[in-house]
Amino acid sequence: MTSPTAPAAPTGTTAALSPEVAESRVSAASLARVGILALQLALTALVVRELRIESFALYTVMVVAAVAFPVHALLAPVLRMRAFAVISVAGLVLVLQPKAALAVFGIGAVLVGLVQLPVRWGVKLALLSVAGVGLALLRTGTIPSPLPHALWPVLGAIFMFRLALYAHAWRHKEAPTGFWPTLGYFAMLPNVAFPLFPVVDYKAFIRNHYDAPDFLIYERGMRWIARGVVHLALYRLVYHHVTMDPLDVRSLGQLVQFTLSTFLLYLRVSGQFHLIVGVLHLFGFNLPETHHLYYLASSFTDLWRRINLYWTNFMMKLVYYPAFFRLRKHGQETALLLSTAIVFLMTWLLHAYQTFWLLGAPHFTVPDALFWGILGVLVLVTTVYEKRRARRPAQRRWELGRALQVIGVFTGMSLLWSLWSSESVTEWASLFHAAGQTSTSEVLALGALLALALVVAGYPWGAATLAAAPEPAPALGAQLRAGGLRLALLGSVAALGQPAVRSALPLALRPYAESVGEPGLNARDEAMLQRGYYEQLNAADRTGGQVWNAVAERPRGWGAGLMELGWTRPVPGVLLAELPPDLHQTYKGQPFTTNAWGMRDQAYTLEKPVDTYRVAVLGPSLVMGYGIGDGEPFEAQLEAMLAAEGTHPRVELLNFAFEGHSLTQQLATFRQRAAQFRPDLVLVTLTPIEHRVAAEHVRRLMAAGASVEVPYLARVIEQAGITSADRHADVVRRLRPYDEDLMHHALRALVEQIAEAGARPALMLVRMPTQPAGPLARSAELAAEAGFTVLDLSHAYDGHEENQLRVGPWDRHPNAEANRLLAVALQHELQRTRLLPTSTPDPVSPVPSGAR
Amino acid sequence: MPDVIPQVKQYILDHHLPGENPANLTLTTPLVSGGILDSLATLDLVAFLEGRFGIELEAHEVDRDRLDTLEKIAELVQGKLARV
Repeated sequence: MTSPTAPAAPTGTTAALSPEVAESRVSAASLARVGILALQLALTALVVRELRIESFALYTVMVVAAVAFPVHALLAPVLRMRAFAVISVAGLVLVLQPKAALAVFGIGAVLVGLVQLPVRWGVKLALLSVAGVGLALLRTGTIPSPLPHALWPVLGAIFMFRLALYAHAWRHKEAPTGFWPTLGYFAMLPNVAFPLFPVVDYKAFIRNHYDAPDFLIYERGMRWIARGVVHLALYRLVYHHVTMDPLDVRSLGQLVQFTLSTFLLYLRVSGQFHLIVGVLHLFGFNLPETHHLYYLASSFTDLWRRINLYWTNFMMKLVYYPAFFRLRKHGQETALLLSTAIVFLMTWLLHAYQTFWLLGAPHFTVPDALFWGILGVLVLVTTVYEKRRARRPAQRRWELGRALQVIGVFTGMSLLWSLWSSESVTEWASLFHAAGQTSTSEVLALGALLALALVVAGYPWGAATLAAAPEPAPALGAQLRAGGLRLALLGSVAALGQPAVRSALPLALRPYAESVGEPGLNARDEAMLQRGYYEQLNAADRTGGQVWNAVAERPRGWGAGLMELGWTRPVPGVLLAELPPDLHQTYKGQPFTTNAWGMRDQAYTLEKPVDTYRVAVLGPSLVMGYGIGDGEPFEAQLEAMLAAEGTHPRVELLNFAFEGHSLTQQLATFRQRAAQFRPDLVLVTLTPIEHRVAAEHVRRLMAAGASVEVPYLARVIEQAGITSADRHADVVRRLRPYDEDLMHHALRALVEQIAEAGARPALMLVRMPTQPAGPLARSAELAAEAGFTVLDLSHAYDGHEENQLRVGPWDRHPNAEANRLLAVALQHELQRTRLLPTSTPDPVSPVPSGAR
Repeated sequence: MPDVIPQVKQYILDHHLPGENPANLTLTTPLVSGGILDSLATLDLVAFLEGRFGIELEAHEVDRDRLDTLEKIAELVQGKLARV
């Protein structure tokens, strides 16, 4: 081991082994230093496992790193690059399995071989382009590929940018390109766990390897890993407690909250990159920072110099400088402006290129183009300003001007980021209608926030200074102290992954601890996933959030609904569509069968059998059964449970539910389909997102040009001014003032129609696992006022880990077990309200007292 | 062979570190990695070096390895001049 104070010689990746260089000095102090670092790394792996950070692949990678680090650190310096390459290969094989890993190495060998071919540069570029097009055709499936679908993001993450930097280094002989450094560079240990990976420069990778004392590099790495964990924990807090659904933005304060939160979500990327580069430091790669206090940039060019610095350097090296040198014959300033413009154009295009390799489709949208275009213009303007103004001596004190600049850049970026993450420019622009709505408390809160921002932003955080002394190699005591603090930090974060620890916290802190400890989706992403927004995978990429993992794990084609699949038949009027009879399909990976009446249920006769109590069940997808097999929806499970108990009369539950059904559609279903079965009881379903479901129903009605034969709905559509051109978000906003009115009329009409048919109306309040009950309490009041017997099933999952009750991380519809719990809860509620006949026939009148 | 370091040092002090104590700018002060020379300043420095010493730099030579300290800059310029 090299001394902690004297710089180690670069390992000279192709150098021959020599006794002098290979000499290893292992002391007790070195062992203690390595030990405390290994312990921190092991605890980081535990944090990743307990908090389920990223994917299981990251846990595997962190375990490999924790095990390999002490061995690697105690090796002779000359062996370390080779050892890193071997460790990286081991990580790849463990995560991808040998066959897929072999495919990566095979493709990599061809690409690297092409770079190293002894032919002219132009020929080489042409050959690389042909290889790239071939791979792209395999990626899109144009050429059938034997490669597993999940391999492409890994392949893309490894080669899509780093190959260009490797080729650049090869061309200009910037660094040795022998077997081991090349293998280590592409296999690079943490990469297999991260589709989004910092663009590590090959030259920096080689030249910075052990270019400073070992423990200085290791300590820096461990510090950055801990910082990454903190960023990721903060990200989860922002994600769950600060971000908002744009459709819920109704005041100036919420507008500010929504806008700032979109930029704050970038913490995830900086957290990941700190973690990645930190791990690389523990194998001696003394790479520069990837991010540097980017929320405190004082200009747009300053931001460009602080955020994702590896990307900035990549663009400088391969685009900006080459463009500038070619253009400078037209004058320095012209060349600067054109080069900057080219950089932003290329960044936009390369972002689409990246999305293509990671997700299989390029990413071109108007908000995306506007984001890069506007940011490019802002950087151009700042470039010209900075070029022309006289440089003044740096000030080390607080300055109002600096504070205003920092706040201005942060606000500007937040606005741009909110545009970027919006579904459309119209949606983004409509947010600003809320700016006029505010309250005194909101204004005071915003004033306090601004004052705090002024205080913080006025100082020159992280500004370059000549007086700063180079970082010294840490003494053993200092390293142990810092290690102890980090162990305490990591241990505390890991503990948040334990439900028992979280439940011991004060009640007020528990939601925050749960947000850090659990990787669930926030309300906005759940809602968007549910309505198929993330069917365009690039939308998930654009938000760059936790939803990316959920979407990536989701089986292909999951989001396509029954109508999109063409398995329904059209129905005129508000119903729009219905299930056809005798359908036999596999839907969401599960058998999906309908009976002769087009119900997802077993066979029933139209005529009610004698001694039978018949229940018609109406509702949306969570009643129909979504992502579960035939016989697993809760109404079917309840019917089976009651049959097993031998109740008399026999109870039939007929499932008339259909995905996406609003209350109005449930009304139409009852009238057009269920009433003819002469049910004794009708169960209507209300979920916490009825207003969104109703809005989507109206949008579909308008888009289809369907006749709206329901008077109250036709009136509201007219009053709200909804047109066929409106998107979902527009309809939600326009209907907002009428939400309660619509629900009230639908409930009243349902009660009247059910009573007229001689049945009893009851209404189930149901939510999906992990879905907040939200406005269900108010809905219950309205239902009771309308004359329904209210059956509250919203507590059906109490006492259970709700994440385990979803059909998957990508979809919160209740799984078979959750449906069993719902069946139990429904049985309990039916008995409590005496709606379920017991062994003696129920003498209660079929007409409820409230139905008039 | 011109004495490169004093001229470059003066240029950097005048244009990129106004008001700074010259003694703080040493031969090994990190200029690019230390954030003193950003991309714009680096290109200004390139223009200065080419104009003052009559050399020509290429795009791939504009990097931290060659321009990060006064020492490295002097090495780059003298290497170029030796080839003229």
